[in-house]
Formats: sequence, C-alpha cells, structure tokens
Amino acid sequence: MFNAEWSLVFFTLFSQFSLGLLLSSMVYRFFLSGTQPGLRTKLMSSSLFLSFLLMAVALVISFLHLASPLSSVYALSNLAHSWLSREIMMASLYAFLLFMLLLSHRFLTHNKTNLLMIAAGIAGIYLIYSMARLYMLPTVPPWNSLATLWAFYISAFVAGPSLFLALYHDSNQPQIVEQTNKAVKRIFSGIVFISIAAKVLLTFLANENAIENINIAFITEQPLQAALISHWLLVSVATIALILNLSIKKGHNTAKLYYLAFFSLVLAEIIYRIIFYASYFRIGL
Amino acid sequence: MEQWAFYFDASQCSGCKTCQIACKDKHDLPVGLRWRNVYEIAGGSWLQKDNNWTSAIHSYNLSLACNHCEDPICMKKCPNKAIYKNDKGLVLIDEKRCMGCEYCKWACPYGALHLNSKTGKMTKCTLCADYLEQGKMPSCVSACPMRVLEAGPLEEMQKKHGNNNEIFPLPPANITRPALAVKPHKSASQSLQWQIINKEEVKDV
Repeated sequence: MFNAEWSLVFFTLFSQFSLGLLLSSMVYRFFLSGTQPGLRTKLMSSSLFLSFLLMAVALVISFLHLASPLSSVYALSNLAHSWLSREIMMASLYAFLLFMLLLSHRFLTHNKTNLLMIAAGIAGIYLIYSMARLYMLPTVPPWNSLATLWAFYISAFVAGPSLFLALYHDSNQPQIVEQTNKAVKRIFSGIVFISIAAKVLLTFLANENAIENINIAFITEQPLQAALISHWLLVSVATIALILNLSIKKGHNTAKLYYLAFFSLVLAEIIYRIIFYASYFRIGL
Repeated sequence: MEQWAFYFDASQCSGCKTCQIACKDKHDLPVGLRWRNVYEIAGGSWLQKDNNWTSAIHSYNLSLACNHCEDPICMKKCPNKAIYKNDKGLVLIDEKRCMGCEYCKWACPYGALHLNSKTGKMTKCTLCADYLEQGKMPSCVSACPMRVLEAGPLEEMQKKHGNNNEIFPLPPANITRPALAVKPHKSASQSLQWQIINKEEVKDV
C-alpha cells in the first residue's frame, strides 16, 4: 500500500482540515463575530487563506498518486457512476470557490462573501461525502461501512476548530484578551470534544475485522498496536490542552496550547489515516 | 452483444504456468507484470494415527486472468471511462484515457488489473482480442499442455461445461457476473481451511 497511497493520506487529510477550518470560520462569522468587527476581518483573512492553502496543497499532492497525470483531463467523464469522478469534480469546485472567497473577502460586499462562503461550505461537505463514498467499495469490506464516512468528517471537525481557536487567539490583541469571547472558546472546544467522543465511539463500533484484515505483508501486529497507542496518546494530549485552555484565567495568552492541540490532532489523524489505508482488504483475489 | 468467456478445468491443471508464460511472451510484458496468474490452493492437514502420520492435505491450481465480467465493477468505477466492453464482451482499456489511479485495481475482486509502471497505465488480459480477429485462440489457451483452458462464447462454454463460476478463492459471482466456467477439482467441495499458498508469487511487483 504505502508506496502509492502516501499522497492519498495527505490529500484526504488536508482537504478535510481545509473544510473544518472553513466551517469553523463560517460559524464564527455568522454567529459570533458581531462584537468584534476588527478582529473578524483579520481572522477571516488568515483562516480563509489557510483553508485555501490546505486545499491547494491537497490538490497538488493528489496528482502525485497518478501514474499518468496528463490523462486526468478525462477524470470527469463518469460522473454518472464513479464516485471518484464526483470527488475530482467537487475538489476542483471547492478549491475554486475558496479562491473566489479569498478574492471576495478583499474586494466584494459582505453579503456576496457570505453567499460564496455558504456555497464553498456546501461544496466542501459534499466533497468529503464523495471522498468517503469512493472508498466504500463492495469488494473492500473494511472500508465499506458508514465508519469511513464518519471518520472522514471527524478529521474535519477535530482539526478545523482547533486550528481556528489557535488563529483566533493569535489574532487577538493583548489589550482585548480580557474581553475574549468565552463563547468562542467553549463552542469550538466543544466541537472538538464531541468529535473526539465520536472517534472513541467509532473505535468500538467499527468493523472488528478491520484490524485483523490489515495486510500483514506491510504491517505486523506490533507496529499496529504502537500506532494505535500513539494515536490515542496524541488525542489525549490535545484534549488536555483544550481543557487547560478552558480553565485558564482571562488575560493569559493561550494560543500555544491551541497550537499544541491542533498539531497533536493532526499527527493523530495522520496515524489513523495510515491505519485506514493499511486495512485495505479485498474479497476474492 | 456476444460475450466471450474462459473455461478452466481445475481438476486437471498441473500448475506448470505455461499459460502465464505464454501470455507474458505474447504481450511482451515487463518483469513483474503478469496478466495471468496461477494460484496454488491447499487445505487440510496431517493426521496422526499411533506413530504414523498420514497426509490429508489437498491442493489444486487455479489459472486466472481477467474474467471479462458481464457487469464489470472496474468499468463502473473508472472516472475516465477508460475501461469499456467491445462487441465480443471483452473488457478492454483505452490507454489514452487511463490516468493510472488504480481505482479499478482496488475494486476488482479478481485482481485482474495491473499497473504498468513503465507506461503509467493500467493493463489487463485482453483475451488476445487481436488473435480472435484472426480466428486464433488466445495464447494461454493454445499453449496449455494439459488443455485445461478454453475460450469461446459464454453460452457455448456453459452449454459444454456447465455454468459453475465459483471456486475458492473466487468471490461470489453475483458481484460482477464473471464470464467464466470452471470445473472444480474433486477435493474443492470438501470443507477444509483452503488458502492460497503462493501469495508472494502472485503478488504484483
């Protein structure tokens, strides 16, 4: 698996992180930014830029998976039956909308930006859906369940809000730290906690054959156990960092803890995604 | 539309792999790339009676390429529509359209698709479509010294040999409806823990 699928690990993850960050930006913009117009502009610029950058890098990486990338011009030929065709279409549309959103944030009216944001959000949500569906092949039992869909959205909802929190606290000027919106901290931390809880639930509900079916030509049991332990340790570190930030007193800079949480979750998701690809097992030959 | 098919007699296959070599030679496939694989299947164990051990191991061979399925999952999944069926029902690849994403390989339960790393395109058994145009049989069929391989219209194969197309380790036929008729080895019906014992040999390099 590993030679060909490294690029897919990062393509899928970066796309999901991008969507998570965009949706977090939307929640902040539409519901929480009313009392902080100056901060909103600065924060939107950085979060939209990062969201677009993640998706742009994801698209470039996706080409590394192709043995004949020049033939990718035909990739939208089978929208009727192929989820891969649909994923390619949505990835392109989502990236384009993010780019337009970046421009509109600078040059267009507030309302037009809002509309573009909603359109990009919908495109991104459907991108992740089509991404998950293409893996749900009837001939690959470990991937052919709702657990795949669940896992892909969880990746978006753990990384996006934690990165947004870090950007939020980084954007805050010291003199307004005391007026940091508690709601921002609580809502986005809450989204991350719920996603982590969903991840824990997924572990218990996931196809128990997935671990047994991992191709032992590539990975033996001990590295798998080590990978899983590392994954949960990193998730624990992120959870503790977020809890600390929630209990921390006003006036103290908490951006570092949010970045710690974000990078811990990113590493955890990379490990989990590698395990996902290693679980590939096809019925028959 | 006509549907061509392979027939394979697992009861007589010696596992010599002449079919595999003939295919490789005819298509000039590079090292590590095979369109036809011969799987060695074994099951059972040794039985002890007093101080003696008796073999209760059974084995047979399965020579398999592409089954040119009636409902090919590879064709449905290909985003580029690079995979198509011709008028003989053969599942073929338009290399100009193929981008080498290997999605078809992930989906195919028969392991029929292989990436040619030199050309960057997916490749597979073509049932020697060019030979069929000339009225000749595919090279694997002609080369087999045991005469366990045949090719012809599916209806003819099924009429002559029956319509069994499931034998371990093949998946359920209802997934892709393979154009294949198989005569199973006499031991294949036994409930043994069958397994492929030459996995490293048939793996793509």
